[in-house]
Amino acid sequence: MSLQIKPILVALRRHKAGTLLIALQIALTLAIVCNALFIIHQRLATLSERSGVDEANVFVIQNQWAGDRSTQQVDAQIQADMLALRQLPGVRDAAPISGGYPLRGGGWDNFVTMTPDQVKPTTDSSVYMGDEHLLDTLGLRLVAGRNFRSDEVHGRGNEQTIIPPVVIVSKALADRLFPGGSALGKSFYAMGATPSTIVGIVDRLHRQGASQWDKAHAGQSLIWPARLDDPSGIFYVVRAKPGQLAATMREAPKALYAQSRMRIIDPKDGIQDYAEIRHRVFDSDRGMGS
Amino acid sequence: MFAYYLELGLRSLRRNPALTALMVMAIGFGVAASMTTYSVFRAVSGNPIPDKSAQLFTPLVDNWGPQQNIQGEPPDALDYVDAMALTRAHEAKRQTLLYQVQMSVMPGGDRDLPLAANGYAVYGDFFPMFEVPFRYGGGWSKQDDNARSADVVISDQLNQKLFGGADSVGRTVNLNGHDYRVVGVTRHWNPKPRFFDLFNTSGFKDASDFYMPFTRALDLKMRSVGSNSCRGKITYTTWEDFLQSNCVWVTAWVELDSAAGVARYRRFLEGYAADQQKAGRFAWAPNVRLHDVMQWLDHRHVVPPESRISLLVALGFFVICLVNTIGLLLAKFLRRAGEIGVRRALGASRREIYTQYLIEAGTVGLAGGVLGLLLTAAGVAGVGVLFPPQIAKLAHLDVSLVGLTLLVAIIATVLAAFYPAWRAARVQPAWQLKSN
Repeated sequence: MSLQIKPILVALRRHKAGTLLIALQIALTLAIVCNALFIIHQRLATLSERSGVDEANVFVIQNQWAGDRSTQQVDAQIQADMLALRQLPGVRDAAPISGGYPLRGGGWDNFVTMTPDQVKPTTDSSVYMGDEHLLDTLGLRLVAGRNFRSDEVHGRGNEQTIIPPVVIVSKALADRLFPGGSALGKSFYAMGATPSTIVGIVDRLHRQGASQWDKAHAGQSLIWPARLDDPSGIFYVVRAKPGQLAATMREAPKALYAQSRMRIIDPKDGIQDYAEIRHRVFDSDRGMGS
Repeated sequence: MFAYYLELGLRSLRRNPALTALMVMAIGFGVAASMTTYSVFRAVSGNPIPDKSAQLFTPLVDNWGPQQNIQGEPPDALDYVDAMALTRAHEAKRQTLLYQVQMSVMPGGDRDLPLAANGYAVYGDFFPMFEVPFRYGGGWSKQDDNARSADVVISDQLNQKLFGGADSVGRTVNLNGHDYRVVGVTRHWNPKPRFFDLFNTSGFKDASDFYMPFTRALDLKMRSVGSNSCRGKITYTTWEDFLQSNCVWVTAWVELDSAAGVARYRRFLEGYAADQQKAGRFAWAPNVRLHDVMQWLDHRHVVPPESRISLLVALGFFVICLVNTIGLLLAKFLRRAGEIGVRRALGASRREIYTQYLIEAGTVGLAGGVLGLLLTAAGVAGVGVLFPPQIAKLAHLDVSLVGLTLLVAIIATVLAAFYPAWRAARVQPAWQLKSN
């Protein structure tokens, strides 16, 4: 073999410029292709992240209130809206959700501490608020403990920061705070003066954001039992019965407008299913991955 | 001589069609990839208010302290207490506070459903500071700010929806159940990036529908629909408690004309923070910032990382194409060693040969540039595949991009030709003539 390599090496030495050019080209191409592949791989990994939501059957309604409503009026309207949505034939369950919804692209997050006076936070968690129907509506899988009871869910105004005494957390948050699977029944503080006790743990619940900054607490989420009676608006999540997503998405706004016309549901993007939500939130990542 | 060499160059394009086509394609694709991604990069990294970007400043005060702030930096917005204190001190020629609000336009006329409207609560100085263009009327005065008037400035788009585009100054619009008097209608105004509100937005959003007095929004206890960031324990239970909390949600801007004015304002900010420390509100030394527009864009990382990465990848690809072109030019030129030998024997200097082949390379670059231009046009039109719609629609092909595409193609090819042309110029006439 060495006999055959020698003439090649000699030839290469005689055409130094050509050899150098080819070597340079190969090196540059490899460098750029490898880097590009690495970036694509990273982005594709983000794209395929699971949200924990039953994405095939769930859609979100962005409901903005019109006019000047008091907190009490908003609370009553939310409850009336929920009854109307849950009565639709294609609907399995429906719930109000505040703080954002999984993959919304941004929302609430609170620092978490183990004691009320701890200055340096233990970690950070996405915060969702909803009622006892939220778990079933999103399709979250309870792996320990129980769901909220209806008597634990209260309406609260924007400025009424009342920390609910019970909380449901994602497994990622439970494991982060109490390694070893002993989280159920334990308490923590999420920027409040009073603690919340973990009554339930769900398998998986994605944060609202999909950007890079909150990667560190990916998957760490908590749900508080509350209806946030924000006079500007609220999100409703609705889970359709299998195969009835499209029909239910058409029926839902009609049912809500029948309850009250003093609301705004954007005809263009006021109602989105998870295919659209995913598409929107990962727009920039998909560009880099395609 | 230049014209003659140019003609020779153009003629030689046809001489080795395969080689030439390869080079033109390499340069065309390379330059098109670079220019397409550059068009996006240029759109997102531009100066949104070139004539005033050095006079507009956003002040920041660290109200969280070293244990809770973000790596020593003050939060990127102000809490209510600091925002109002800076406003009352009135140390700048013009100043405004702002936050995002959302309202509904109540039904009226032939509309039976309410309309959503997104806007900002601002002070009257907002309009002259940011050079908001008006179609009808104008902003409101300091007296209106102080009187907490129910005035509103609406966008041309909202004016079109509500009043059919007519001069609506003086007319009434019902927002969230309250009547507001229209004092001005803006022309289309949506600076990109939206430098004045990078706390709530990433810089690229649809134009706002309205602007209302900040003082009025506070009276109505309107919460920001943008970001709100707090530290420590959140214990407020009323609007008044919320205003006194350490939650940051207000953006402030001041207009300062001279370097001396900037220095004075900086001293004022330091002094303010020092007073807070003395009063016991802050348990830390003054930590303040005063960013001008371009510093603020940089600080908030407005240029999406995607646009920077794709520009770098495209430039890398262009470099590969150029290295390729060097090899191809070398083959093309040295194939004509005999011809060069004859010219040298007839008295042409090395310098002349060198010039001739550089110009010939320039013609290759021009052809590559023309192909690149067509591909760039296609690329800019299809940029939506790579970037989110809000960013993609900013990219466009204009005269400067056309010029730049051709220029980059020609210059890059001439640079790539330095070595091949040098080799051509060093051809030994005697050897060539002998072998012929």
